[in-house]
Amino acid sequence: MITSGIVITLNADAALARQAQATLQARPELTLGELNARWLPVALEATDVGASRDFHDWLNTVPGVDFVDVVEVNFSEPDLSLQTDEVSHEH
Amino acid sequence: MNIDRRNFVKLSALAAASTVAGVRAGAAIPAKPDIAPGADGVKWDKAPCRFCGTGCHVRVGVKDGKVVGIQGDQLADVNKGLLCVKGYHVGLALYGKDRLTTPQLRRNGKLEPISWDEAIEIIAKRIMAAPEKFALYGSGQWTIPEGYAGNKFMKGGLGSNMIDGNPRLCMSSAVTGYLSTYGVDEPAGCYDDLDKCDVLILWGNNMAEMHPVLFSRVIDRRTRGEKVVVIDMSTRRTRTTEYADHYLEFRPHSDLAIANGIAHLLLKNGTYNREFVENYCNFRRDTEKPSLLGQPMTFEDYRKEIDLYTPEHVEKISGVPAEKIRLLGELFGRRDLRITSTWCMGFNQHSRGTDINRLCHGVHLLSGHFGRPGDAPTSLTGQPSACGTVREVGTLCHLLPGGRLVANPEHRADAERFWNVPAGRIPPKPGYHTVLMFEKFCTATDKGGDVTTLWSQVTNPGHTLPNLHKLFKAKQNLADKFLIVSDVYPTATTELADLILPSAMWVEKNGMYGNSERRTQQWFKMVEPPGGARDDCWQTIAVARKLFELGHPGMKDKDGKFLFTFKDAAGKEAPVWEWQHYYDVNVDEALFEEYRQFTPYKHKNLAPYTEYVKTRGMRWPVVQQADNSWRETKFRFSEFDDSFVKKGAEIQFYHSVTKDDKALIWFAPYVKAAEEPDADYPFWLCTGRVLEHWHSGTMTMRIPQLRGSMPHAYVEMNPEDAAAHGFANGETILVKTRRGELALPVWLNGRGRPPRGSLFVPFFDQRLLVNNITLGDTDPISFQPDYKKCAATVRKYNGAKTTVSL
Repeated sequence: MITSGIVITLNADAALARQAQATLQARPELTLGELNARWLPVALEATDVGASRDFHDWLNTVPGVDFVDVVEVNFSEPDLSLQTDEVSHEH
Repeated sequence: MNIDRRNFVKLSALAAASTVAGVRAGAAIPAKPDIAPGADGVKWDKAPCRFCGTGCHVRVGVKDGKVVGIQGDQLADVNKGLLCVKGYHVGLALYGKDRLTTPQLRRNGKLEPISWDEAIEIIAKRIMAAPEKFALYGSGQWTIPEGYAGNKFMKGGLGSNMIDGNPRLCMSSAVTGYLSTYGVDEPAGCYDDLDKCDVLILWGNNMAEMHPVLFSRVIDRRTRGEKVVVIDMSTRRTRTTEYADHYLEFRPHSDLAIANGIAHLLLKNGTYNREFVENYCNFRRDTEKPSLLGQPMTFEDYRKEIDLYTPEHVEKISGVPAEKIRLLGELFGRRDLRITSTWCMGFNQHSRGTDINRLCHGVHLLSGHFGRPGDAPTSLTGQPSACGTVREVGTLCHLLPGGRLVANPEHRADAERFWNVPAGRIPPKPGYHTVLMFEKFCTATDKGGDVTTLWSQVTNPGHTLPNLHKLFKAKQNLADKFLIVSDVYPTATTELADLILPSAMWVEKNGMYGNSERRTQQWFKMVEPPGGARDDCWQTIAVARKLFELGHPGMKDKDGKFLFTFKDAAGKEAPVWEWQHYYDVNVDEALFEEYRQFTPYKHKNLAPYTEYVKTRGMRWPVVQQADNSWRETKFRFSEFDDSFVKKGAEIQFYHSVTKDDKALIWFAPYVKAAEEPDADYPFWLCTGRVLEHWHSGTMTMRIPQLRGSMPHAYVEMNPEDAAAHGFANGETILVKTRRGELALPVWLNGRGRPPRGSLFVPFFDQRLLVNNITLGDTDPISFQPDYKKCAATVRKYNGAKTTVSL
């Protein structure tokens, strides 16, 4: 499980921001915190590295989401060897 | 996973995000982090991020001897809890599967494991045999104590100035720009300027991707309802352009003309700040042979030279419409605005890098946009300690610690006194700068190649030098050349290494860095390095000790003691050259306290080591107060903040080149680039970085999230150029320069959007080394290579199919 703390900047258009918040609320992977001006804190739980990245990409596509900033990543649970990779030296 | 622990981790993440959201909305930075220490078995400690020169602080979570979590440090002024995509993955950089864990010696073309004792002895014997042919190549990723030890070892021990560092490739033109303008290196302002400016001008600086946390500081101001105008001056559209109010696309190299065009308008319109100029500035131009300090010129002579640069003339040179040049002139002419300029490699990796740095400072001085919060010209750096370790510690071939020069007899005497070595130990002649060092190393000894043993620490010159065939790969045909590489992973450099030393990295060792805004930062070792990897500083000290044992006279001080003698709390000498005893004392602290003696000379005063332990860094000069506390300086040369400025002076350039407390406004003409497009090579080729990868990708290409996001290099091209050549998006094409050719997938309408006649290739990919074909022409004063401009052509690639998709 990859757990991330994320700050989402919502759009200045209040209706669009509310719509984004509702869209995010519906996703079980996310736990929403209290909105502070236009900044929404959330915790994201993803099953693995790929799912975390895909979810992050999806967040960027949600109407009403202006920016997505990650402030914490906890990768204590998975086998770290699965998360790292060698660079191929092929030329 | 235990449900309680899972909830704890989730709530911790949410709490961290909530705090950052509050700070971004304008709340004060909290006094304490909101993680309950140790409640889930994770121990958290502070460290600066390992990657770029921004100097963000992270909190590093460690459990069972491994880094398991990274959090943006909410207590850090620099990033206020935010991190970029590289920063929050920084912990994974330690855990690539192919970490180097044992020394390896190349025998008959094959690398074989050897012991540390053997490795150290091999190095020491090679140095002992020909110390004058030995060179040390360091890095802006060296920690401050590592760089200081390397500098002392070379200049104070071996009596050799053959030490240089990779910041020569990234910011030495910024150094010469500051030195020739103010008489002392590094910015007067700091990141606080980004919070106060009304106008931010990004001079060839893709801040959204290269310094994203700083860019967020600016964009957040807009989100809070503040007005800040962003002007993006660039040779191609980037992510930064998306947020810019004005985009000024200029022809490569013509930034020189644009800066002169602004000065022209300030004079023509009478909007230059006459009082500021009369009180605080002199004028200067270069000598026939370019030099750091040039020659004086009068204001009238300056006016005559600048007269040529009308908006229309500048438009002709640069391609920037005259009305946009007027816009810049008008903005700089206004007193009611505060203007911050930032730049990075666009200025510095420029064959007129010193000149364009000088001109940018000059525009700020001429207009008086200097010395108030938000009014500043500030260079940004690419490496975490290019400033702290290389510029301040002086690990370049012409420098000594604290802003001193090897060519100055008084400076050499200072260093010899601090190091307690005999007078005359340090030679007056600078060693070889980076490009010359590698040229000599890659030239046959009997043909003048007088560097035969080269030790590279914490950097990857086989990837990052320009024109690699000439400056690096030529080494492989020279039997008597011996390359030693200390690193954490196999790299393009280790491919040609004769001896590889596995290094500890980041929180596997104690460290100190100095970031772009003069902020010195400290951290403690948190986890053990893997296998037999050891600290770079230990490696230097161990070699010095072996030389001491072999009888090298330079490894003794005037009292006959070993050059790196450290005592424990009981006053007993600690044998730190033995790895098992290296952490018996805090070597970092001892070296830093010794180095600190050098710093007041150029008013780069540092606080004691223990003060940095308590903080997320402090910006020098750090001055002790009447109550014994230590106060950092945000705005140098300004009386309201800099305690070294005379009372009543308001602004004082106290290291003035002209010794009258005035800065220099330089004139430098626009000149053509060293290699421009022509009929055979009709494209400009520019190289640079991407958000996901840090420099040569040694670390970030081993982090799957980052590698997955940006798996390989590519060439950006204008769609109309691609159509004219019949190239489809994603198709592999050949990019050719006079140095060679490279097959790359073409990316159309991607992240960066070059204009017609222009190409961009990122340099992070070891498999697609663009530096095989870059030019390597250098600035005549800073000797920094230009990676941003050379002439290239493209054609269809008929080689094997690739699996690249875009």
